[in-house]
Amino acid sequence: MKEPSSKKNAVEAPARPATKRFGVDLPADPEALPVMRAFAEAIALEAGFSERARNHIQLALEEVAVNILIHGSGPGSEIKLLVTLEADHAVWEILDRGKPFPFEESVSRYDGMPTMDQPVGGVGLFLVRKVMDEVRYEPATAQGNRMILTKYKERA
Amino acid sequence: MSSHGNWKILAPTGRIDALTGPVMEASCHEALEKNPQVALDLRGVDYMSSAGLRVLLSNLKFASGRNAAFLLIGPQETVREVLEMSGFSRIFPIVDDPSRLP
Repeated sequence: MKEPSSKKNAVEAPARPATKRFGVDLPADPEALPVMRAFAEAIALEAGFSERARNHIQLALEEVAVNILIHGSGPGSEIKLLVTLEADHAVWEILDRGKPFPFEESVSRYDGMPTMDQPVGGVGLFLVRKVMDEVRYEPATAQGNRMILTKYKERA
Repeated sequence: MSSHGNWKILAPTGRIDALTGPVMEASCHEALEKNPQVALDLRGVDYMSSAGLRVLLSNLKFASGRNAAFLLIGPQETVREVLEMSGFSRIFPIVDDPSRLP
């Protein structure tokens, strides 16, 4: 008689959650912003991010997208949004084919002290760096400009 | 627009962002042209981006240029966090509700 499989009673190590990737192509148009928001909210909610973290993600993505609409690609172009979900964090990538964005210059344009006397620029990127855990920018590769934003679940 | 004492109160709802900001800015400027004391009631606003912050600053500058007063009422937690993170809460008078208007 055949021995029952020993596998049946073996204690299996918990499977490591698999990396998941999602993406969406959006027209570089203000009317695409609500669609981007809905996409990001659905994924962040499903992935278990807190309400506060989801608000942070929404704010960061929208600030980057609006910056692209203002300074980057013209009408008819696209913004590609990709997200990679890991067990404890998500990496959001926003790609566009517009002109390279002066990231370092924009980072230094606002220091958290608004004044009544000068025009205020760079506040959007300032907020992005405040609400996300990591912010990187890769200018104009063959695939276009790439902003990479990382958000951890437990740090929200 | 409603009134509380000498204050004219605008009470937008929803989001103040790149899409809605220009309309909000125009409404506030129009109110400030007619009234020396204007308050923006944020209790119904659940989202504000940097475009919204720029609208607030534009209103404050517009008011300052006319010797008018401009203040904020009751921002929700999400909006309050953006105001504080950005440093904008330092330059805006904020009261919790209309009964606290000076």
